[in-house]
Amino acid sequence: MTPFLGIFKKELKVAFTTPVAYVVFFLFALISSAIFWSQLRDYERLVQRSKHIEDAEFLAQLNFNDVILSELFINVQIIFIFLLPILTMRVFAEERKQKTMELLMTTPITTGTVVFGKYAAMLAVLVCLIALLFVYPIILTMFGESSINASVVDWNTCLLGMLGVFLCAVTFSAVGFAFSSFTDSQIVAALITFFMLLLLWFLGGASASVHGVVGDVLGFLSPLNHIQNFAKGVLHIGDVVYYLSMATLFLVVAYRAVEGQKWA
Amino acid sequence: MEAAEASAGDAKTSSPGASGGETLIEVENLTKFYRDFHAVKGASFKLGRGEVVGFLGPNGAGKSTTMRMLVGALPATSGRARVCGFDVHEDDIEVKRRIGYLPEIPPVYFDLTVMDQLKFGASLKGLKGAEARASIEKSIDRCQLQEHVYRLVGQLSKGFRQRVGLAQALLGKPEVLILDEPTVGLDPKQIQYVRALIQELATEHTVLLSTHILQEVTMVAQRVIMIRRGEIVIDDTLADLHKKHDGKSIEEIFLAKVEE
Repeated sequence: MTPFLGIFKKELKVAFTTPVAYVVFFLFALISSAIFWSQLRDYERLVQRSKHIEDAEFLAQLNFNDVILSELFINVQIIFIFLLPILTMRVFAEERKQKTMELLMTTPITTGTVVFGKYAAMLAVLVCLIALLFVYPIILTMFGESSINASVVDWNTCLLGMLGVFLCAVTFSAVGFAFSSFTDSQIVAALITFFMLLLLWFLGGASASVHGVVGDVLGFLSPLNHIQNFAKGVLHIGDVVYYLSMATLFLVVAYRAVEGQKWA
Repeated sequence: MEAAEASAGDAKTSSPGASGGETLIEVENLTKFYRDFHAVKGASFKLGRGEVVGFLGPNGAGKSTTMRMLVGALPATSGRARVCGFDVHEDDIEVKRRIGYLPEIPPVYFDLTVMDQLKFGASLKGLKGAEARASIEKSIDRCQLQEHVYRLVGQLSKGFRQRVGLAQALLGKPEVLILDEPTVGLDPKQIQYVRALIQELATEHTVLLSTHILQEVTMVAQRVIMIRRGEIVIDDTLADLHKKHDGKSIEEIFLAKVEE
């Protein structure tokens, strides 16, 4: 086994031996299903209302993707702000607290192997987490009826939404990695990550009230504005660039912090 | 800084220690400051192949600090250390390939089984396939962990965790073993066992072991390096020490030095 694979496997083993991942999975399923249910109710209400006022045009435009799935994907980002810090908090903080960092520092491996081995394992966990979301379009396909399309769910739009959700998780977990590398307290790591994500998210709201270039920059920095296109099924290269560059930035910070501990 | 000199060829210089032969560990004027605190004050010593050296000193004397600088876990403020001819700062990966290090707190994951922990340790040392399996098996045998292979490390007693840490340090048959207080927290029977194990290991490895238990040194080591307030005050073989201090016991010599 190469050191990279060794770290990858060990991280996955630890992630699924401790209860933390299961709690996060459970909460994610619970909250996302609550959102799904409430959007389903909205959809029903919209159908009733447009039938009542005999707005046939509006009724024809109603579909599961716009009303239910894309709203769900946008809201998942908010769930991630709360849940992902819990998944990433232990990644370096625990190694420092339990003094197992000493093992990683005194065996012939590079800091890059440590950081990317751990990150690859984190992404594997996130793929499992996001895969839970497939339940919802499948439910819609099984039980839904559509007046316009042959398929009630537009899978292309849906898959693009999932990609957006995944990229969002890629970025948020990189933020978590950075803050977990600064401290040996998991709680502190989780809290700071949470506030950082919350701050980024608020930038989206703040940008609306700020005019000019500053507003545009603030808006660009917020993940809120980048999930929208994905959720609607539009692939915008700028959004992909945003998520990947934010992830890279925070991973570099984590790398520097871990490397710094080696020579501190 | 002097990377060019840090070639393997340098390892052939002779040791001042008991057994002669090639020098595996070479420490020159190693110094460590923690902010204002002068933890290690220009330590210099050498270890030859096959030596077992006891690193003695009262608590807080700088034993762990020196050892951590030697394994590349902590950078020295000044001075340099070489292991098997490789500079610890310049060629840290090469140094780490050749050492097995057991820190004061064994670096083991409470959420892994003993087997998974050792597999992880083997992968970090770059061991693969059959080689890794053979090495893990040998380590388990040596540290007598056979009956605990599938238990979680976190459920083991401190003594067993220490043995898992030792088993991990032995993986890949490193030329140099650096053990930081390997018998702390063990029960008397386990202490006896670990001491016997270290004696056995001495046939294949060069061992630097720190302790503050004096009898331990006389039992396993041929040579003693004593550090006090960051300074090396004794570096001699046990036999020579006895001669120089007209037959006094190591306890007496040690206590006299501490109180000086």
